[in-house]
Amino acid sequence: MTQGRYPEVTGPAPGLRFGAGRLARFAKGVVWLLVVVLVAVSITFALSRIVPADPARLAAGLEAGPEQVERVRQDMGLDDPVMVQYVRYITGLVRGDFGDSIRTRGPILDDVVEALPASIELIVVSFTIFAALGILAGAAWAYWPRGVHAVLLRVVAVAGSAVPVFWVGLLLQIFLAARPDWFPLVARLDFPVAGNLNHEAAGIAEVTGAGLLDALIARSPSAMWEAARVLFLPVMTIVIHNIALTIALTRSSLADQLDREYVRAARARGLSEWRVVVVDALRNALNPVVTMLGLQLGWLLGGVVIVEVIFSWPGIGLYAFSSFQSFDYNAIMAITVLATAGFVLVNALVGQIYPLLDPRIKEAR
Amino acid sequence: MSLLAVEDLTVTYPGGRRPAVKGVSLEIESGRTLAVVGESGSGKTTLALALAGLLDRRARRHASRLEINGEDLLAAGRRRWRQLRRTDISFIFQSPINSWNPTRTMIAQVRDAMSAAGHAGRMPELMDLLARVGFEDPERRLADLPHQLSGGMLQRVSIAVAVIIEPALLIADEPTSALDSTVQSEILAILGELRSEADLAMLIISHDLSVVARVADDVMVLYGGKVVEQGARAAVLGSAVHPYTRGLLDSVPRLDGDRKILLPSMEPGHLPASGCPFAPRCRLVVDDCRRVEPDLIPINDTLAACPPAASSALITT
Amino acid sequence: MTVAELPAAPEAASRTRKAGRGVMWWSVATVAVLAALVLIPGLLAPADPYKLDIINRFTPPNAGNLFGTDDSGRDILSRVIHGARYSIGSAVLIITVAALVGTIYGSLAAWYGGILDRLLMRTVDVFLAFPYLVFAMAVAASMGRGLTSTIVALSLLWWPSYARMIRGQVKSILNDYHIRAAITLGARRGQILRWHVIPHTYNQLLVRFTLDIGNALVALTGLAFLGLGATPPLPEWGRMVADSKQFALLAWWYAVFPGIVIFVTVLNFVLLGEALRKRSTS
Ligand SMILES: Nc1ncnc2c1ncn2[C@@H]1O[C@H](COP(=O)(O)OP(=O)(O)OP(=O)(O)O)[C@@H](O)[C@H]1O
Ligand SMILES: [Mg+2]
Repeated sequence: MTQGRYPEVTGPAPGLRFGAGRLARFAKGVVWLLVVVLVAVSITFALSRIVPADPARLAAGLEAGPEQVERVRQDMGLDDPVMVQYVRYITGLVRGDFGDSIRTRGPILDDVVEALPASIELIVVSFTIFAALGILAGAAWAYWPRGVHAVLLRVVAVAGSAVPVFWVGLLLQIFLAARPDWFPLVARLDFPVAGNLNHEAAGIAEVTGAGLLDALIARSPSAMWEAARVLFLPVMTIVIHNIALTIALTRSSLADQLDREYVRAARARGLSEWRVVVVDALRNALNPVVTMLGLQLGWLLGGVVIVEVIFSWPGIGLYAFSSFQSFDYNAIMAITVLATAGFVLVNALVGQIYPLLDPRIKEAR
Repeated sequence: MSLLAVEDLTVTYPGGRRPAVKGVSLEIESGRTLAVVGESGSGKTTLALALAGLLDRRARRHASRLEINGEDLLAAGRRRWRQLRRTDISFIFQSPINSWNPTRTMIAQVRDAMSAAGHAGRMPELMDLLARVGFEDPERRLADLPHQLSGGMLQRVSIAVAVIIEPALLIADEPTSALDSTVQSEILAILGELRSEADLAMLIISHDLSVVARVADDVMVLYGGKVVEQGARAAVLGSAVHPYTRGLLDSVPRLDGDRKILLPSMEPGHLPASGCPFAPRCRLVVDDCRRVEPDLIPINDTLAACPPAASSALITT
Repeated sequence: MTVAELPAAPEAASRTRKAGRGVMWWSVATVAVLAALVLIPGLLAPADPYKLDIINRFTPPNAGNLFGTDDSGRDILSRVIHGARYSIGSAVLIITVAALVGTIYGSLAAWYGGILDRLLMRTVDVFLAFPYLVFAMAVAASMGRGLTSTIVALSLLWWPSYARMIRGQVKSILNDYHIRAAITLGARRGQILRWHVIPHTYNQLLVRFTLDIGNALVALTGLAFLGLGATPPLPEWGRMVADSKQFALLAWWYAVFPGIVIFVTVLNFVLLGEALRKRSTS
């Protein structure tokens, strides 16, 4: 299943696991984040030195003559020694300066900020759906282990993790969007304006850039419907792939809990099935599921690339892809760094959920 | 009239080569205690669970009679059983630490139990009861998680929660086996006291004959899921005839002498497919034992499932 | 006995065991077929995978072209058969490298323990925090596109998970008393690791290896879909699906068949891996 491609389910980032007080733990978390990001920066920076395409050449444009390219090279500081460039890049990062994009010619940070809402909308909606549905389905499977639904869920759990995302997306386009014309084929055609919904066409103001949210703010049902329609296929693509692991893990974890003696004891005290299964057993079963969901959320930060490309979804993933296509190495570096930081952060946040699920953890710290 | 009446109860687990409980009949009257003894795997827990409607969904149960308070429960559904467990049947489990959800505070779980039974308003009473059974400072200690309390403490909570609903039948599955011996006798004392106050019928399971000697009125000995001997406490402990019961009694270490006979040990779970389950370990075994399953017959003062013992008893008396 | 270790009913047990063996044989047979595709595609493919035939482009599936033809009139079935070498071959290569490096790294960390162990494993944690798609893009952007840079990128990202698994296993094996005895008796470290410890990890390693070939295939074809990987006209599977995208509405079979092949292949490795896992734990 998917766990092989990714790190195993391991709980909170190691830096967050031990420590005396809250503050110490927080400090360790920050240090860990910085270390990971620094390594990511260093590796990508080292890689950037062996880029085959000449950035100055690209930046100067096709019509530029040799002198112009030389001037651009000096402007970009590409003549300086590597260490100087490295230090300059790092200090830039510290100031929140990721450099300029060769492709869009603006500061990368601006591009990222513009593309972020669309990605976040896609990720949050998909994540919510596959987490909720996956837990529900997995729990139902564990509680009623036999029947047609069990067979179906087994198929989903095995097939879902084996099916390639890009292919699902493509098939959905061919068979759902293209033929009966139910869903818009690509999210929006006026890329690269940020936002997944054509705000102008929907007649609403662009506040956050996330279509669903903007439609909500504008209280426009028609725009909301349109935003949901636009979201449907990309979300479904992500859900199909990611729900498999959630279902399988919830099932095995809950089945394990249901076999415990305390479940029988709770039944012996006359508790309703709802209390026994949901309040007691499911809550305990969620611990590994939350770990896994945290990792999945982290991977989604980088993993939406394929889905965004298929559906021309104007988010970070598509931005990364376009940058890659045009050898815009600065932008790729920036996104690598950001996605890494996002992954570490998400996992640190997930680490805060464990004590809620299992108070023994808080006490053990 | 008996509070609990069971006839010919058989429970089979999927995959089990033989039933875990086979053809068991028993009756308990209010105010009396029946002790079920037997070694590990003899089906004690299975029997107890069947009487509270708590068997695994996968287990198959058959009986020709199953009545509590005169109500026929052969066809009772899960809903009815749950209702019974809220009002009439209480259960105490063997392992106190495993009977509570490890991630929720005791008070939350106790509250759940109390409101399930419709006694949400009686929490103060429960606190009193807890204090009475030796659980000091209940308001504060109940805020703890299960693993922060000792086994004895947890078992006191289990007992208090079990008896506060004033059940007609209390089932205790080895309530003291997981505890050390001083705590064990405290818990037994508590149980005995509460039982005599409440006039309830009690089924206590144990593999420890000293426990049986302290609390039981009647004793039933299980071997391989079958009743091999049953009778009044004095009769079973004093003049048992079944070779298995005798072996159990003889292997109890005494201060005044050495053990007389040890049961020939045997791999657990290696019960014969037919005939008397005890035959492979039995010193009185005859050919018939391996062919026919013996029924309970009156021998001396007890009922025992051992025809050879009957004939030797006849000879000796 | 806890219910968790419940033996199924004899009939049911033999039924699941039979089903398990069925799955096992099925996957082994399929893997054999896939191996044949990798090794001798020329003998199996009905047509030349590179032969252009513009007149017959976008021919729907028919008796002559079971999977139809693509935008250049090439036989898709033949291309899929020839593509196995690139897709499966690369996946196997990635995981082999990752498993080798990870095994050495992980067992060293476990053997030395202490500060070195902590340091090595922290490094692993850092690597595990990298988003693989974006990182692969960075590698591909700097090394140039092509199958090689994708293989390098994925191997680079994959070994840490093996390092972690092997370290955990070796640590627990080293605690075994017979290993401790061997250490006490002064056996040489390399010998102990090589002959007494590593062999105990083979079972899990094999399970993981099998599962990961499927996973690597998904990752690899995904990257190829983004244009990071095999370059035209190589008939790599992910690349084929990518190429089909712009003709998706014109020729459904172009996207459908290579995708099905990827799906079935991955599914097989997953099933085989799970079957091996069941066998090794029971
Ligand atoms: N849930 C179950 N599923 C399948 N078999 C079971 C299950 N519970 C018990 N058994 C089997 O039924 C038989 C009787 O078990 P039971 O737990 O009733 O014995 P016991 O007398 O309570 O033993 P112990 O003293 O160890 O508690 C054993 O062979 C056991 O393996
Ligand atoms: Mg028991």
